Amino acid sequence: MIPIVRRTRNLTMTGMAVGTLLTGGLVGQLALHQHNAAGTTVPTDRPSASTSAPAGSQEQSGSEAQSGSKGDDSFNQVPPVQSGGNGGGVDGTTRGS
Amino acid sequence: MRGLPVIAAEFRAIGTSCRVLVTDRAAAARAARIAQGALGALDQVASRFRADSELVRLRKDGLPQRISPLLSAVVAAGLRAARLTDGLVDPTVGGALIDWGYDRDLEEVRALGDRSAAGSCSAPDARGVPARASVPGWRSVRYDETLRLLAVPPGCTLDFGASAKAFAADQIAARIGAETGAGTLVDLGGDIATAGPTPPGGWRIGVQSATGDVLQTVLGTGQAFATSSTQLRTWSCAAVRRHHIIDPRSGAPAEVVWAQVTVAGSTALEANSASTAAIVLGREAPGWLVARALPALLLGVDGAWRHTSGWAGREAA
Repeated sequence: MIPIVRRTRNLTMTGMAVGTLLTGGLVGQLALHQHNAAGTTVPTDRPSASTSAPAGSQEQSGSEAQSGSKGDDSFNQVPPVQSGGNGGGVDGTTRGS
Repeated sequence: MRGLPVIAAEFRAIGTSCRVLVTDRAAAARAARIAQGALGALDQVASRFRADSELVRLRKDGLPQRISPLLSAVVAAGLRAARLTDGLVDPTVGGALIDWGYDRDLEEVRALGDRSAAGSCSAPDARGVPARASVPGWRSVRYDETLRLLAVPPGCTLDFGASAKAFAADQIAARIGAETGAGTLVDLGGDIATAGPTPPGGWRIGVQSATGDVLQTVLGTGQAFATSSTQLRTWSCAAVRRHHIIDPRSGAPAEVVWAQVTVAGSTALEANSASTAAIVLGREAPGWLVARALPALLLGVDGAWRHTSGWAGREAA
């Protein structure tokens, strides 16, 4: 299943690139929609690949899952923030800009 | 000397300040070059206020166009911020910002006085919303990172202000750390990213209020930090003080519940996304931050502050 999906995506990527080169975008746009339709590996709770999700995020999510990361669409866990006490200098200052 | 941080560079870029520290003095010059080069390139591609920037010159016809690798990375970061926050942070608020009068560099906006008088700020309706303010929504932007193809719908003005700054802090810190091996801290306009070895005891991070007071000093041990404020990037529109954080749901500056929110994240991009979303959420922010286990310090406009469980309590002065 996965190789088929990847082949489909590669095919649509190629179509999109060729379309953009040949027509200035019209065929490319069509290919973009095809990519969306073929994006069956994108979980339903995620936006479609054609609207926002970077291509290749599926491949990333597998490795992130192994490393304990929550993935591209979720905040990763961070260690608690400890007090630095009063006084003394600072290395950096977080503030609104 | 290795271990204690030294300042490698302090300069202004992309309309804000940049400060770079490294734990190896021998890495300082290279770190400074990396930071200056990266921010110069970022300004050239992603500035909303430069007529010649790649961002400003993008076609808005809904058709795919190939963009540079750097702008592609900026777009990817901006869209990730939108996904992380379910659209509370949205790069398509650029048009709304312009409608509210923030249509040029902030110093120039302020110099012009009230923007309604200048004709840039649309006359607000009874709810205080300018007639033209609209947010197309981040899902209307179609983007393929592999091919670097971006399609911007007609009438959509992209603004990657906050996410681009945080993204840059992350990228610069990572690159300096990777190329020099030194512990690195990049403070880019208050967005703080680190990489490499942590100095003994951790990076000392001050949380600063809009008045310049340090509210608290905390220790960075692998976290990144960002603060979003409703008090600093402000101007007058229709005789009312406005701030720059647009609520994509209304197209208007977010209701001012918090003076500022500081969040610790695994990256500056995540921290900035969360702090901006918290401002947009207003009273719902504490629950939203807790649900995501994000350490945060929130300062209300009434002067009261609160923090989530992962953030150290403030000590008595």
